[in-house]
Amino acid sequence: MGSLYKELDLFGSGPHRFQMGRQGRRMVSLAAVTNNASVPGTDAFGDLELRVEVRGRLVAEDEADLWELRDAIVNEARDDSPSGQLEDQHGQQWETMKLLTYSEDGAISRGRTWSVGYIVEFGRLYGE
Amino acid sequence: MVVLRPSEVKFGSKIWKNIARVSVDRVALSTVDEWDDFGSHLVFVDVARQRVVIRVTQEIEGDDFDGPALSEFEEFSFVGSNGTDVGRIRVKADVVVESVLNKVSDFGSSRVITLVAVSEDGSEDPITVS
Repeated sequence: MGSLYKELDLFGSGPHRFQMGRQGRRMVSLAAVTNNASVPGTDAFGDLELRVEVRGRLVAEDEADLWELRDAIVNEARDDSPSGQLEDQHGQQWETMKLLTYSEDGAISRGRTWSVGYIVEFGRLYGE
Repeated sequence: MVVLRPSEVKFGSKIWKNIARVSVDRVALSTVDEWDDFGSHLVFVDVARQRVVIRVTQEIEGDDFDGPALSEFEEFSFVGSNGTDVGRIRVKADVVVESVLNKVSDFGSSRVITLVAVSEDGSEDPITVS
């Protein structure tokens, strides 16, 4: 079983792993809330937004194919791209997720294949 | 690749004599190792950077003031054979001299020259066999 985002197989060209972000209460400094540095302590203001990170490697036969794989992901990271369902390789699903950022982890490896490591961050935004 | 007693060994315009053997080693300097979410074993390995090293062992029979200089860049070639003229194989590479080590003993002396092969554009194998 492969992972999917909005029914798209964005990461299937190579190995990839899912990682949950911080979960729980959103703790905020009272000094920041009151704009007064002498106010001590923190308080909870709602819950943290859900974040899921995918780290993996895009693997292609040549440079053109690698660009296609990158572009497919970056296309989903555009601001006007709607949210959708994210599903990992084991069937775990997260609804209304947005692909927030794509970044590369190291230079392209040009060995037997063309490949590059990446980190993709998904989030469920309260404002959406 | 190992060739014993190659019939001709050239470094630039110079001919190296009394060559006992030439070996060509390939070593990965950097590998890409990846795992996925299904288990603990590697599922993807690729060699991102590699080094092709040629070692030339030359027998020294008397005083010798010669020898290549470190970092010298030349075309290196040698000819091996399977015992017939038809089976002559020429191996060529652009190389840089990395080390020149002399081993001197009462029983004989030799020199080991280590050459690093350089690819023309990074994607071509620096060793050509014809």
